[in-house]
Amino acid sequence: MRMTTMRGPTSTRFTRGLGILTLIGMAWFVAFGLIFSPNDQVQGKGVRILYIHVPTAWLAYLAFIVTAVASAAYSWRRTRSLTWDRIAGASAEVGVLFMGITLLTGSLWGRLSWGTYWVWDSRVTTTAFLFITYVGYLAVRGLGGSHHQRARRSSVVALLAVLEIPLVHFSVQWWRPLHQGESVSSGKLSGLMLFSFFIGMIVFTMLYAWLVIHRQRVLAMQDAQEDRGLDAALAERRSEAVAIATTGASR
Amino acid sequence: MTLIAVARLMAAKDLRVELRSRVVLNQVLPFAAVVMVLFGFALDNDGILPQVAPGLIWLATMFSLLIVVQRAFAVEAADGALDALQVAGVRPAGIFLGKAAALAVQLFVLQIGLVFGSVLLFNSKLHPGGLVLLLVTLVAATLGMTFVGTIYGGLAAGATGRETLLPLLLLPVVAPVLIGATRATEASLSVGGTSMREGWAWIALLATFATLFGIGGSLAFGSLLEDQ
Amino acid sequence: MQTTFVVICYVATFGGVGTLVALMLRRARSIAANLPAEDLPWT
Repeated sequence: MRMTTMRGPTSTRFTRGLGILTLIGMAWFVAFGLIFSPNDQVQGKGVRILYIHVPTAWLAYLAFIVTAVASAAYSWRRTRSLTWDRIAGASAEVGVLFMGITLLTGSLWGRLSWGTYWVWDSRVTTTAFLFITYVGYLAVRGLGGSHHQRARRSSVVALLAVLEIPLVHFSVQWWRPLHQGESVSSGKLSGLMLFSFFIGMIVFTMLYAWLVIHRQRVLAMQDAQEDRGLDAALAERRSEAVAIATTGASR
Repeated sequence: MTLIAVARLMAAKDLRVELRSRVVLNQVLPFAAVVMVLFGFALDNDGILPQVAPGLIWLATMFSLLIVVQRAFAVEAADGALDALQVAGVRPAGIFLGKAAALAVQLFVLQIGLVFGSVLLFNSKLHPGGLVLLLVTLVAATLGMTFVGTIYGGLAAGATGRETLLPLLLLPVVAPVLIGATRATEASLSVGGTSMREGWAWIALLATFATLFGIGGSLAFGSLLEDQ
Repeated sequence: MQTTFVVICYVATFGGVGTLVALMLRRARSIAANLPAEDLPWT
């Protein structure tokens, strides 16, 4: 593969390095997750799903915390910058992606381990709620208007979402205090299994960082393109107005 | 003007608009009644209706909440009234609290209707021992819902393509209210095995919800208004 | 069923991520075509 094909407009030396490390890490992860690590005594092959499910769940929550912090940074006048808004948006998109993966893998694992695709306990339900909430957040980002209008609206939604999550979590927990057996494994995780979890955490974290950095840059380019489009349109109007004025005056 | 004075003026204005137009009375109340009847058709089982009635009351409330909130902001949008208020320097927290208060009154009236509807259609039995809990539930849940509704209503009001966003934004957020209010109502109607003590514990959740979003909304409403 | 589900999970995860990455980079290229270098402050 020629190096130039990897040199996209959003890449820098750091992200190229990060990207390569991530790809290598993913190869290791798949190798250990699918091949080298043993089956679990109780869950059998199903435990391999958890190597994906657990890291993506953690990172989805992290992504939403980043969105909230970035939204707060935008809201605070002293640190107001559209970069924070774009980081919030990028992180939310990646968070929704990871949370979708979490819900899918969790559901399939649940079917294998508990016999059901869904369970009404606080963790699962809160995760689903978080997912829907951030889909709504992304919809609000798409409402149009100026960059700062978008940023203001989205930061309100993100910060209110942070408020909502503990409320949803506790109300669901008190609603159904008896959740069906959630024991994860037979007890001891073998060395290779732990290692697979560990690689999973590192790989998905790198993937998160790579995705957010690139997505944030794409959003910056989109905003710049809109601004240029606006400038071009304004310039056109101005030259039209001048032309009308001069032809009018010469009459 | 003080915050309370602004809020009172705003609430009075909204309630006067409702009194003259009677939209909640003539449209939303019947809508809620229709929803309750449809629940009866869909569930198709007289035996379980009294048991699920508390949940149905609050489901009907939430669907009606969407309509009432959109109405509350449509009233302003037509003449750009919110812009005018903002330019005049009226404190946004006051506008927020006033609109929420007016919404709360309207929703409270609706809920009294729904409770009676439940007695009529679903065979719910009102217990004198549970009446206080029931009323407190209505108040606490209504406040929480209207605070949240006013925030997201403000966000979703205005340009087309925005109002359709309101259900997606609002309903997930009020889910804790649905859970808490249903359980507390079950306790007050002696249904579903929730004890009175548990019922009052759920009130604590509802009160927390209302307080958090009351404060959050007061702080955030200003920046939402800037945006119309 | 275990094998099927495990395979679905890995394929969906890496296939999904890979597809979205490809789409994002393609989009980035097309936008950048219209922008001067000063709009890309990270390069």
